[in-house]
Amino acid sequence: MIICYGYPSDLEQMYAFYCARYENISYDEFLKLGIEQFSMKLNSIPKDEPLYEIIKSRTINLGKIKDKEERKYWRELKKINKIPDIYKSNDEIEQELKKELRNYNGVI
Amino acid sequence: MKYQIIKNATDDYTLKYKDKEFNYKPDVELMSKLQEAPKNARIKMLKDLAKDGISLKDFTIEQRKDGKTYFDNTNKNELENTYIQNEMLEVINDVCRKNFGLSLSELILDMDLENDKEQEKFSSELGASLMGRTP
Repeated sequence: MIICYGYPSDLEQMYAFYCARYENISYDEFLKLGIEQFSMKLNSIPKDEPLYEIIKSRTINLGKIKDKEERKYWRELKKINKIPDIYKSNDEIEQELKKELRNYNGVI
Repeated sequence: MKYQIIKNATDDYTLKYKDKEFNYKPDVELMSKLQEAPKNARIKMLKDLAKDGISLKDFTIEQRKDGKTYFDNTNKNELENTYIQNEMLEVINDVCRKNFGLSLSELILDMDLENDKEQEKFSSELGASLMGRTP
């Protein structure tokens, strides 16, 4: 899961992104937006959006970053932006653990 | 065909069965409720367990083998998954009541979907459309 609609922090970021890029609407109006239309907008999120960096930090492969400082930067961001496990299904948590172990092995 | 889920346009669906027709629109709020379900389910589960004086750790089986300790979380995961599935079903039921005036199981009965295969197919198609994926 790279973004969680059920996680208030992510939902607020999505709302802020929508208002900044498209139209200034109330939060209640935002919740009533069609999911497909909104997902399409989210899929083509511009790189200069704060939400883009959050998503990138969740998907980036730390093992592939050669520069030590940059790796440290993204590791911190990954930690800060992590979706709490309580929002995920057990299968997802298991998959992520495996992925993290792979990342960890790549760094060492 | 006992029913039809028609995608009229983006975020615009119609459920047709017998002589009935319902329009529905999957929105951000619904997605939020569905993805919030695992959290709500876990909180509910912990509250229920606490009421009975049980902790989640009681479902983990500890085994020692070759001087190492292993933890078997199968029972814990099964219990969690049951709570998560029930919570998601609750969300789907709310959506069904709001859009079709019936809960999912009542809707299935009203549609005369008799066997498991038909019911499963419908639930999966409805679920896909609610998540914004074309069934």
